[in-house]
Amino acid sequence: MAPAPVRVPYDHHRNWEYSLPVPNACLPPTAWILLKQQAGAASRRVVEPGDYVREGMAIGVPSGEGSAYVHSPIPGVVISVARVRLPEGGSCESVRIALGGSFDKLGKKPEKYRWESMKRQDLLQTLREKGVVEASESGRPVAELLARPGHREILVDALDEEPYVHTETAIFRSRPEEVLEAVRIVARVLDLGAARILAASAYPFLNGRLSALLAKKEQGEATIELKHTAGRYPLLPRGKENSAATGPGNATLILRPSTLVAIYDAIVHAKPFVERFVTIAGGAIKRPRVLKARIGTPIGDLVEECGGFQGAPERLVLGGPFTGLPAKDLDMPLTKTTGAVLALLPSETRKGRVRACIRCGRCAEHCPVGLDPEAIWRALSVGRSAEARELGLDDCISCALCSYVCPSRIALSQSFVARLGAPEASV
Amino acid sequence: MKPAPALLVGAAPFIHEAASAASSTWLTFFLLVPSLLFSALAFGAGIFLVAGTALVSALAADALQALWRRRFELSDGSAALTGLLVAFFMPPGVALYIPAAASLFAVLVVKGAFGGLGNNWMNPALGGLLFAWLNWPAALTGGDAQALGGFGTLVSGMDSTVTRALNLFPFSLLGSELPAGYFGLLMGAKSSSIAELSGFLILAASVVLVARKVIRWQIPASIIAAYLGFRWIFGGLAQGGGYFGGDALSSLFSGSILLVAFFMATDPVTSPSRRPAMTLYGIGAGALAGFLSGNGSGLGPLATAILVMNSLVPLLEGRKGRRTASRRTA
Repeated sequence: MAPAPVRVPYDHHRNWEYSLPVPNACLPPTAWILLKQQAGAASRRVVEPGDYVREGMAIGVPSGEGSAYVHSPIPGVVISVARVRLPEGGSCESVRIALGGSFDKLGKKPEKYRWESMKRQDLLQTLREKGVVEASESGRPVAELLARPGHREILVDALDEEPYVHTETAIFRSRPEEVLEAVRIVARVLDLGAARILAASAYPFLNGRLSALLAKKEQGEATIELKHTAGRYPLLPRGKENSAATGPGNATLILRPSTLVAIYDAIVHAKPFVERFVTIAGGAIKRPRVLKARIGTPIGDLVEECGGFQGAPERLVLGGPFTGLPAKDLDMPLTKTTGAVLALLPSETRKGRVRACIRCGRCAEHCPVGLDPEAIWRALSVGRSAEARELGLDDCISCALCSYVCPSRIALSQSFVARLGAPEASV
Repeated sequence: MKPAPALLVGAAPFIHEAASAASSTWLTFFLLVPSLLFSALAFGAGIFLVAGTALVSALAADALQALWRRRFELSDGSAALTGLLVAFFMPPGVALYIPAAASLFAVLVVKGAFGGLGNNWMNPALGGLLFAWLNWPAALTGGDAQALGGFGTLVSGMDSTVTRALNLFPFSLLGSELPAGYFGLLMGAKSSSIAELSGFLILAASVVLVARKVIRWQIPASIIAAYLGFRWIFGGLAQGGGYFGGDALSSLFSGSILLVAFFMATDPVTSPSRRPAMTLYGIGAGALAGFLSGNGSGLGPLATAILVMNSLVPLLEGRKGRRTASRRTA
């Protein structure tokens, strides 16, 4: 039975429906594979123009901590290597591959490996070799993340907190078995007995199928608990828990379904991280959808796949509207960390001129961590960073709500983000 | 490749909430236009001359300060709103140099000299009006009953009809009686400034302001409550009566308090932005206005009350900083 499309109630910007099962996007005739798709340094290129590459063959190898393997998502010929600018700043090499040749894996029934008998070190090694990184904005290599000591709890964040985006929910709905199995793999690596899954209470459909799955626990396997929560933005104090999780002694490791299915594919099917789920949405997209697409597909191809544009978009966004990165053209390729591609109309961006602060207090009213963004912004704008920190700048979770509600369109959160990254010594 | 659209780049967030400061200001401006038209109906087209003078002076002053500061913000609507509010407090037949001077003072001195929009500590329109009131008190107090002419007769006729009807039902059933004159006051049978004419239209416009979240209801509500209380306590003294004998309701409809409470005290720049401070600010302004108002309305006491509270905003808000130490968790 084909599941009915679901209306998403808490998408207050634009209600749209995605269909299940999630359709596969067409293979790109030409793919651009960035050699920096992770938090750490760019990978070292191991192919030259003219080389023939097979599907899933490594074209980049890690160049140090935080770096990862990069694989070819399609079989074909390396046409060229170019240096491209990254939306987050900086640049990296990009390998252009023209589709061609035979498919080794596509269309064949994937083999299933029994991971239960694998050792912890072998599991980590496999995750490393398959280029698995966090499939959300942070993009840290998963093997490194899991190898850190001190994790006491696994939290699966199966929520799409930002408007427009349905990627994580679509994954959790279409592949719950694989998400749960990946949680058990991670629990095994970390030697933990329990995990929690956060899902939006707007999705009661998950209850029946999941509780059956959760109950089917074998001896010695991790207990997984499902917790529903209301859909709103921001749902979690983003970033803080995650970054704290990297320090010693911290409890919670947060993983998202997009990362977990990549872990599953790597361990169970020995598949490198070459495809991912991505939301294509926004007012300028004719038929918004969630797609499964190959890494390296130009976002223009994905937009075409959704019927192209309606109206002239003012903004192209990689990721959610509150935390994403701007894309400057349609040639930008899909990366391991791109959860969404949004094309937004002027009626959605509602940019407006930056004007004087009228002290309306809306930023302070909306700040989810109780800061006074106006006071911090005033302190920063006259160079008083110490005062800004005293006012709680370091507690800012960069949710960007203050900038979203500011009637004078002042770049509040943008100025905080710039400062949060700054080293303590500059204060 | 596909035709690349002209794209903007820049950091997140990529979407914004609807209301911009400028659109809220223009909404406020246009909500006042019906009141102006209603006044023109009563006082004649001459008031357009007064309003035009105040508006043009305010816009010219804004252009001047923009030129000087090399920063053009004319489209933010704040100068236009200041000009219109100044005009609303002018008697219909006022000499035109008075609204012009009030607007110029409001925009150049009260707003411009302190650094332009967002940096002034007192409401520009009220500052300009107080300047005019201190210089030409006679020209700004006391209305001209003749100016109402035929319109006055029309409204007082309506007043007696409606009052009689209301006394039949429901007031007679409640064992009480509505004195003549209140309905006429609400609808505008009075002769003072342009704005004081129709409390009804001001109330209607304020509903839109609150509904569109341009203003927070806490400020006007607390001003009006405190004003009514203080008028009741002290309002009788001026007429030779004792304490607790004031006609609070009539002062609400006959004064400019509604316009001040909804359109001037709520100016985001000069009012508090946090809820407890808003209520304190409103109570202070309403009480002061009620206490100072002596017999009836008058611009001076209202302007003084709001400006005193404007100056107290930093004190009311306390030290700015974080609201809570706790962080919400999932």
